[in-house]
Amino acid sequence: MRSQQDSNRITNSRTTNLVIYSLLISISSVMFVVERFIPYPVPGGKWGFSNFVILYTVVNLGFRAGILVGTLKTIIGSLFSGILFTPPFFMGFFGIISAAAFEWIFSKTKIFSYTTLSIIGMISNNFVQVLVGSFLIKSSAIFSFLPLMIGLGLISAIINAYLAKKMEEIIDENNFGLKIPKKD
Amino acid sequence: MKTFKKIDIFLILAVILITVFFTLKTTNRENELFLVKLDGKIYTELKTPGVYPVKDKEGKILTIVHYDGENVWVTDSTCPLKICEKTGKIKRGGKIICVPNKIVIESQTQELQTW
Repeated sequence: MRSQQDSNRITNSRTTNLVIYSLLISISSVMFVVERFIPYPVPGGKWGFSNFVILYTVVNLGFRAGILVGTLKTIIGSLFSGILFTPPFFMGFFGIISAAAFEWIFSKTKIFSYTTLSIIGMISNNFVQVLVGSFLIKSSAIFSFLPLMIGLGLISAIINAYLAKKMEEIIDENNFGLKIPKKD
Repeated sequence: MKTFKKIDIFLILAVILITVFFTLKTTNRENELFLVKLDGKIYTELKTPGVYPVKDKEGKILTIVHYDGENVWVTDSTCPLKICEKTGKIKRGGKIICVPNKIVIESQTQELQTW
């Protein structure tokens, strides 16, 4: 039994963390599945609208949370969309890890905005995706898609930044009793 | 953490510029070569303008390929329907295919993907 004084000092209990991560992973997994129905000119590519959750998580909850949510989002979303352990799965998996790492590094400087972080994450994500894809297919022809992917990813990056900001506003307004630590 | 700052405008412009630069660089077709393939193997590369007769293994002339630096066309083909001659002059990115003689003439970067 914790007293009221102690509960103010303890940041998050185990159950609270479970609920927060479950919410984030479920939102991004649903987005991962739904975005496959939006047409995309590059074969095997996706718009990447599910990554705004990673952006929000990395900025507000830290690097480890971002890696956790990104990994589970990719695995669960791939399970539902039927691409588990295929080349697109590995491309997305390593891409999201690199994007989370870069976003976390640049979010520590506190001079960048959501849009900057989103564009940095998008570029690193696309680059690592194409790198992993070229290893899997054993040809460098996939690199010719990179300018097109980055050009289209710019649209996704701006939309993702807006969505992440919206999500932060909504969770800060009524934080569901979750006590998500606020960072200014 | 704000949604947008003034730095982002320059960042977006830089990304757009880099993208446009690379797309223009990849679609540069000035130094493309035309390849003449006989039976799937490269027979000659058309580097200088001129007339190139294509012969089979026994030395019999199948077609004569003409190249004037920009266009490629075929005359005196031995095939019955003369489709390769009726294709006319092709520029970069075009193809001349002669099925009976198994001859394909195409640009180097746009080879037929057959696997």
